Amino acid sequence: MACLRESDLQGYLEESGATPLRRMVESHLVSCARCRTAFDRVVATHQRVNAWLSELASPADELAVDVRGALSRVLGRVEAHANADYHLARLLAPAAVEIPWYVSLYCNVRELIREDLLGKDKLPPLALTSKPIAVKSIWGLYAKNPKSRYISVAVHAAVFALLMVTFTNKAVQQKLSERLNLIDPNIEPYKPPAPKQAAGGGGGGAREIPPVTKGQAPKPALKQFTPPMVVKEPPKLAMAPTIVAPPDTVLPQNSLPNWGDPLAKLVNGSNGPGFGGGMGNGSGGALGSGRGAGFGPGDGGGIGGGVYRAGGGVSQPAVIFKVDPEYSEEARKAKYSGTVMLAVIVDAEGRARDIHVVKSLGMGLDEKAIEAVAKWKFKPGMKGGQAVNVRATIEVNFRLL
Amino acid sequence: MRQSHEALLLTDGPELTSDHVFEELFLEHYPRLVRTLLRLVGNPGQAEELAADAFYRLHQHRSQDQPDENLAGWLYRTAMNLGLDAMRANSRRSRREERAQREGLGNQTPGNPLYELLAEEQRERVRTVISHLKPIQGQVLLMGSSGFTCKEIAEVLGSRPDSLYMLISRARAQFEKEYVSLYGRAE
Repeated sequence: MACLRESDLQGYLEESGATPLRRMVESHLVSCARCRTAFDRVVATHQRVNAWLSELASPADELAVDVRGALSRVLGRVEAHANADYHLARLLAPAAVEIPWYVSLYCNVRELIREDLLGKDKLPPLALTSKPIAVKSIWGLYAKNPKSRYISVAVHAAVFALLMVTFTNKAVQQKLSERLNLIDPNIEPYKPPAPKQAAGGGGGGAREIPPVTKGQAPKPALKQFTPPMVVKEPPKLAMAPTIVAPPDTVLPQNSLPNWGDPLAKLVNGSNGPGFGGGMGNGSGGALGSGRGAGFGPGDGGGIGGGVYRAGGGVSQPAVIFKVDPEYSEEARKAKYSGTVMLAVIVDAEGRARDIHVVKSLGMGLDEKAIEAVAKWKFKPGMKGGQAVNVRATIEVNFRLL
Repeated sequence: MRQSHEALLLTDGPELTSDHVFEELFLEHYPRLVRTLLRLVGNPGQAEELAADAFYRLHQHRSQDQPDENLAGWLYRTAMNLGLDAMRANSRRSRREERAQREGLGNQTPGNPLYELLAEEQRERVRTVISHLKPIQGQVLLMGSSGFTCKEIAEVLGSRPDSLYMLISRARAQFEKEYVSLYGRAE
């Protein structure tokens, strides 16, 4: 006979009385030791768990429960929820009313094709059944208040009369006929001076008959160590030639391998008829027809046709030592006074050279002014931290006390 | 002849939409459901509230015309889940404080405070072990300890007696195993 199942053993404990299950279990346990062991284990578990679960019993189990009250509360809650649902259902449209967008689109397109394009199911034109009803004209309101009409006519007449009186007046007509001259003012003297550009020049040569050769211009630098020249013998210590100009100066360039004047026409290997080293027609150790270590027809450094001018990154020279000019005997006797204006070049050493009279006084005072300024000592104009030649204007006053 | 509620539950489920049938079901099962939940949560007020909530959900469940042949099973299963959720939500300390306050106000059988404290601690242990079981296992153990007969439990669960016996046996074994693992065999 097969052993008892776990459910049979548990059923024996759960049921009471002489049920068929209990009789079958009892008869089997008499003859099966294995099932008796299992039964003992089930009984022990049953008793322990029952003991633990019995702990949950409390005096509150015997408390009376208000069933009717609880039922009324639940039904009230159900009714409140039903009312809320009813109101919400009235607010919201039923789901059946909602038509999907693709269905609506299809119906509209189908209706458009059938009615407008194919002419099918087209409805007859709408017959107007309404009839116009005569209403009272709003302009008839004036009939009730004729004073408004008179006031309107009077106001218009007054305005017309005022305009006629005004424009027929002689003074008004004369004033209107006056010609007004518009003046185009010349504001050039009042414009701020434009920033001055740095200028200068340089030149050189080796007293050769052919004109200077065409070639590549040296790089600009603030200080010159080697002037540009045609290289006939390779030097033992090669150094790139430079011209004196601000380093950011843009010179005309070409791709020739030799040094030379980029503005020349021929490549002939000549340094030019100038002198003082360098290349060109001028003098000095640079390039061009001018004088100095720059490039171009001017003198001094830099590039172009003149020396530096104050502005554009070049500072103004300042007098640090001056000698008062003497009066000429002739001017003293004549008690003559005035101002001599001189144009000078203040070189990098702070001396004035190339002194020219811009505004003359005569009576020997011009010479006395040149003589005095030649003795003056300047703080030179500075360009990029380096002293450079700068053109300046000096006024020398002659006054008798 | 008046038909028993159990027979109504098993045979006439789809017709339980009327308030009359719901009322009879409520009067039949509400007290027993409260006692079962009281063993789980330990608070009479909370047990009544949970039982009412279970019946309210049953009414909503029926109003949705959802076919369910075993309303009592649905009701006890829902109540058991609600009780387990409430038991997990409440902290042990808050329940103990409420119990102490309630006993201080209305306890009719004053006893040894130490004994009461130990008994309450033991109840908390049993409830904790029940919360570790499967809901169906905890449900059959609580219903059995609340006075339900095996026949009644089988009708509520809609299962055969031998299946119920197997379920009870495994629930008890699992309960003992969980208890020993949590608190030791000496206890």
